[in-house]
Amino acid sequence: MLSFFSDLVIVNPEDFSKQTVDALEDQINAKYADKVVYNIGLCICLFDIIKVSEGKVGHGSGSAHINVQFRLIVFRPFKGEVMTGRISSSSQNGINVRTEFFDEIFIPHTYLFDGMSFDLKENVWIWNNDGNQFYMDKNELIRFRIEDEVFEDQLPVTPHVQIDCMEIERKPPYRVIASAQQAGMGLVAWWEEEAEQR
Amino acid sequence: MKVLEPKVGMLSNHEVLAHITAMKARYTELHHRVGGAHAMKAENLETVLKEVRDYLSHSPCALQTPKHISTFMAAMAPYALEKGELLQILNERPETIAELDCIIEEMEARFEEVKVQGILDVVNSTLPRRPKEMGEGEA
Repeated sequence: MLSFFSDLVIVNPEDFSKQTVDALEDQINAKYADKVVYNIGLCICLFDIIKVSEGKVGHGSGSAHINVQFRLIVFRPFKGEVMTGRISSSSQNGINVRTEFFDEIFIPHTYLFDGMSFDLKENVWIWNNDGNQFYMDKNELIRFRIEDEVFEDQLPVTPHVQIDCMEIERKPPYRVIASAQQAGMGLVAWWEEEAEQR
Repeated sequence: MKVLEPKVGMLSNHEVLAHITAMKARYTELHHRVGGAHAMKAENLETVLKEVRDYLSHSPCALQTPKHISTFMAAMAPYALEKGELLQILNERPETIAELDCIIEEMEARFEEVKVQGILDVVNSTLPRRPKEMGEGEA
């Protein structure tokens, strides 16, 4: 989806040879690409620039400070949206799904079909349906519906805490909770066979 | 940094793919013309663009053209579907009634079976099929 942003963009003197539009686009993309903005989503890239103000040159650095209004392409699936992704890993809690560009999609086991059971030996979820066993293997394409999203505010860690615990558990800034409960959801392969049989 | 409006509009996967492809073409052309200094410097931009392009090129939107989309929208006009539902049908290209049921809320209550089959026929006739999955056929 598209989001409307306004920001102060700093253009360094060595970039003055570029067209203003290009320099601004580069700076904006460098700042926002592949980053999560709190309560907005994962920014992909610049869509277009709406308004640019006069550039003011700052003391000392000689860089131009320009106020820009622009639109960004943002990834943020809406509630109820159906998407396809690949299973990256399974655990007793549920299944982790990823798309090529976004890793943090999670289907809790409560949001799976009723007849599902977890096989500890092979770490996969199995769907028991009418006596047929369907395995949800890694890297399989799975269709799911978005139920909820969680944004975590990433505050910088204070120095003394950092020294104490070297390995800090950082929560991902943006997680999506999904479900695969309805007919047509789950492994894409299950329903494709049905379509071909008809 | 200020967010003026979080949701200004929705983009279909096809529009995103078209925009990214045009962007990459522009940068490549600039790179050839002017030299390395002006090429895309940001690594995070390269990463996300490549990943999004990979994801989208395996999805149904890779083979769509603006003409397909306008034909599809015209054909779907008689059915009262929400914007979000039309967008999903365009992005996911359902092939069975079960898939359509996931996308359209309360499908059984709003449409009878003949109409549902009609929607599927529109999808099949106006939109190209999904590109073959790379994962299939591998051991």
